[in-house]
Amino acid sequence: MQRSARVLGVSLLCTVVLLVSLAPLMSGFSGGIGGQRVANGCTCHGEGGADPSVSPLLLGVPQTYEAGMSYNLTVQIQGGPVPGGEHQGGFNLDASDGALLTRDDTTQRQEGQLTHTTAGNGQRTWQVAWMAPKEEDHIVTFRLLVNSVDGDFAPSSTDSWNRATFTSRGPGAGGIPQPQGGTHTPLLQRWFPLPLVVVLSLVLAVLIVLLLLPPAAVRGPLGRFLLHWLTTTNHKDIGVLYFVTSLLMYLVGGALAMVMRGQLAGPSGDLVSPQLYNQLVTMHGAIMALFFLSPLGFAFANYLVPLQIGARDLAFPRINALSYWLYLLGALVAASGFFVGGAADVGWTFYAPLTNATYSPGLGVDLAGIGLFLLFLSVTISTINFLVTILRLRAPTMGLWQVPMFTWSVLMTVLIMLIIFPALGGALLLLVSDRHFGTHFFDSALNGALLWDHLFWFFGHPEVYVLLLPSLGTTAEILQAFSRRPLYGRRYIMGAMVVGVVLSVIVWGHHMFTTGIDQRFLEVQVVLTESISIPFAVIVLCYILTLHGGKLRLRTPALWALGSLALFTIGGITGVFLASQALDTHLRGSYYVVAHFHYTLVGSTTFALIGGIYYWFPKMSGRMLSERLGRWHFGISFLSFNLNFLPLFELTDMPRRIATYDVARWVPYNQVATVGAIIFGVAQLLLIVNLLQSMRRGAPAGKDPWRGPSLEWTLSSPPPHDPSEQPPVVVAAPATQAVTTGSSSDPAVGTAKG
Amino acid sequence: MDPLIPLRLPVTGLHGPVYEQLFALYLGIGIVAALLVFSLMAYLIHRYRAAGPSDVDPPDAPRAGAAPIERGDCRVPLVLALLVTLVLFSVSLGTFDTIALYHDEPNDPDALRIDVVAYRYGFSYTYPDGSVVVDNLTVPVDRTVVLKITSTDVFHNFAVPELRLKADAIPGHTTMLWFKGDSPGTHRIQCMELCGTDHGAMVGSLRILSAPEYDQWVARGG
Ligand SMILES: [Cu+2]
Ligand SMILES: [Cu+2]
Repeated sequence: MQRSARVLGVSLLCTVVLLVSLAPLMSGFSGGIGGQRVANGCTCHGEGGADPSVSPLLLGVPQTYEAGMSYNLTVQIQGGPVPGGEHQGGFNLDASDGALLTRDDTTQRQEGQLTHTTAGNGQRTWQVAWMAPKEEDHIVTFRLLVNSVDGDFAPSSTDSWNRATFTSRGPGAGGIPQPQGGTHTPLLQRWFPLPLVVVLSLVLAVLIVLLLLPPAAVRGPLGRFLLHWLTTTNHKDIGVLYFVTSLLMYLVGGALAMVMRGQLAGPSGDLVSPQLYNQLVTMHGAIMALFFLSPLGFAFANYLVPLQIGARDLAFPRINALSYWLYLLGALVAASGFFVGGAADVGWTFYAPLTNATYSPGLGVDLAGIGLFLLFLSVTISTINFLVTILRLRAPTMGLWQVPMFTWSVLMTVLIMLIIFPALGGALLLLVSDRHFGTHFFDSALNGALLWDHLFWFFGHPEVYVLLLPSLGTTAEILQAFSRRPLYGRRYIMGAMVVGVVLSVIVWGHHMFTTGIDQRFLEVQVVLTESISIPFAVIVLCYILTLHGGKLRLRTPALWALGSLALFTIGGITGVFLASQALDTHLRGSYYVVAHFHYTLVGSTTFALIGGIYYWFPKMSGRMLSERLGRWHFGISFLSFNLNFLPLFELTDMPRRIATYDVARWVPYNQVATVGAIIFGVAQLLLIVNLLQSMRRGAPAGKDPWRGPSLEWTLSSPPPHDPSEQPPVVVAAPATQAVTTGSSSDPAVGTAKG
Repeated sequence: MDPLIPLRLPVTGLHGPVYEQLFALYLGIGIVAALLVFSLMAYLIHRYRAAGPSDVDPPDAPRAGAAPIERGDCRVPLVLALLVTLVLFSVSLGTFDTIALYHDEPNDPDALRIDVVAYRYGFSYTYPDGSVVVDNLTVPVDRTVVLKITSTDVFHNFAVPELRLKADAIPGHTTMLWFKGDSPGTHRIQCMELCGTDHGAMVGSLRILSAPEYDQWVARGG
């Protein structure tokens, strides 16, 4: 019975992995029209891959044509080799309907298509005409190929050609538009994923052998080690897996950031190409937000929530393991783009229609999309797991309002996840369907760009709170332990979090202030977005008031938690600026926004979670971390973080996501930021050193090194792997007595047996 | 460093000063709020620090496994919430005036209406007489200019930072932006939404000419 379940599970996993690794191949099999008659833009030259630096332009194409009207169009080449000399470029233009006409002797008709003549060799702009079809209900596709030539026409000179499609719709064209020109993936690129498939298959083979063998047959320390970590369903083990993986992601995402800041240290940095820079921008964002921050929070959640509420494990341990493996697979698939011809380079916001098959023909977007979809699956099952665990598996005497703050914050987090991740999953499915099966969900003619905006930000904005809430819970735990006082206004903080959750899912419109959509919707969004700072201001101020009347001990976790509150204050206040549609009209898309969200996501969230590492690592490993290294780590990180991001608030005119710039004013700010970033990056290695050193020779932590507030500190460090006895149970203290008398009588701790 | 490089972004046009006023209001209130929070934090940290490792805990200090103790006056969070709400909604009054200035298309019969089409990687401008110019937008001073902005390919953004103007250029959708130059000069136009490889180079300029110069420019055929 158990064995057949395992076989079933393994074969399911194999199928998923195989499908995932094969999916990118589909991008090679385009079923589009056009593009087959002419191999490239100019038959005078050889063949080669499309050059993305060349942009074919067709100006004057009406969005809606008038039947029978004639339109003057301009063909133009942007980019490519620096022009000069006799031979500068060529083009080939095809219209699926109507008639293309020449206007002078620089162009000629060939089999209904238009191309340049020898006389038109020396230019990069051509005037042509197009007669619209007589019918009102057609959709016309223009396919334009251009070839940018470097001028000397040497036989050795390579072609720089590219293609683009444009559409014009008749006034009566309704229903489903005809498919636009399909993508053309060079043959070689189709088989690029092969190495990935091979590696994944090898991993699978190992997995299958390990999992199908009877456990007794696995021998040797390595075999046992692998078998244990691959098959474990224990919440503490899964927590450790999340912990290690997310820290690795922190290093990877950080390394990408270092390259980016290095590139921006001077105006015309040449560390990386613009193409690669866009990949770095995209993957840095995706990795840090989705594969580092959230999983680090969930590393703690996995490890601690059952301990904090006195449960033996999560409600569904196997689903918990599946959730981790889906997350790991998602991260690997998303990042694998770097090795198969380029990772996604469209920004982690994946704005349509830049992501469609025409503008992003490469595999990067597919791989990132599949990676995020796997993450969506992982998050969805994890959400159910935590909801059931927190709502149903609490120790008998622990009411819902009595759960520790960290557990409460996880409950709030999974509630948001439950609401928003389906939007992401659905949007990704539609995107993949557009890219590979010719659907038109995000077709510009059908306002697809705005549809993506709504779907993405319905997920994307609340996602910020998904990242933030576990860190707020962590801060609450740390503050109680180190200020030696109960949380100030605990119930109000819990309530404020609920309000924050509700508001967070109805304010996505502030990411669309400049889209020109209905102003009434946007003005409601202004008010709602401003309102969301109210609950969070209350939370921060209550946290600070917690210190009142306490005996604050400034150990490393407390430093990180207080630092996080200070930086959250700056991040929150600068966020109020962005909630004003008027101010956002200038600030949107600039480095001001970059600075703001790094204050919330790094300054606030990451700092608090690193505080969580210093706070809970002794519980997880049984050994203390070095206080001295931890203080240095905090001091350097705090200063260099501000050095990095404070100057960027001034760059309200510098666009995000650009690899080079030519404005003198931006240089000093960027230089300071780069210095700060590099110091910050190096300082993070202190954490790794500290963790490794502590595991080898850290001082024993004992049960309760910080005299922490919640149940996990009643257990040994590390807690017993399999809780053999009944878990400890909170005996509720009468609230009135505890608040008013402040007597030294212990609110009792006991076990269910006792 | 070269003293000629301005460290602040210049501001001009009809919207620029209004925007800056609103920004200053937000900044002033923001700095006061931040200073209040920071000083409260600094005071409490300083005042309630433990004297040493052996300092005696407060009587209600948290203990592992104990039920959480409710503490604090319920009026404090409520008053805080009320206070924050008041501050927010007083600043948002200014916001709504400025939003109206940006958003309401001026009803000026004399306005110069220009269609802007963003493409990878530039902008094309179609004037009322049908002439098309790429990259550089030329307009006369002291005249209302209304831009209708769209895109032929991907999501772009049309921004003139020195005039504090910005609107998305979305394929299949048109956005409106209007402005009035108050002095002749040249200002940077740039795309502020990632649109592909050369997004960083998607730059143009806005030339604001005096009326006679503009007429000459038109006479020359743009
Ligand atoms: Cu948001
Ligand atoms: Cu752009």
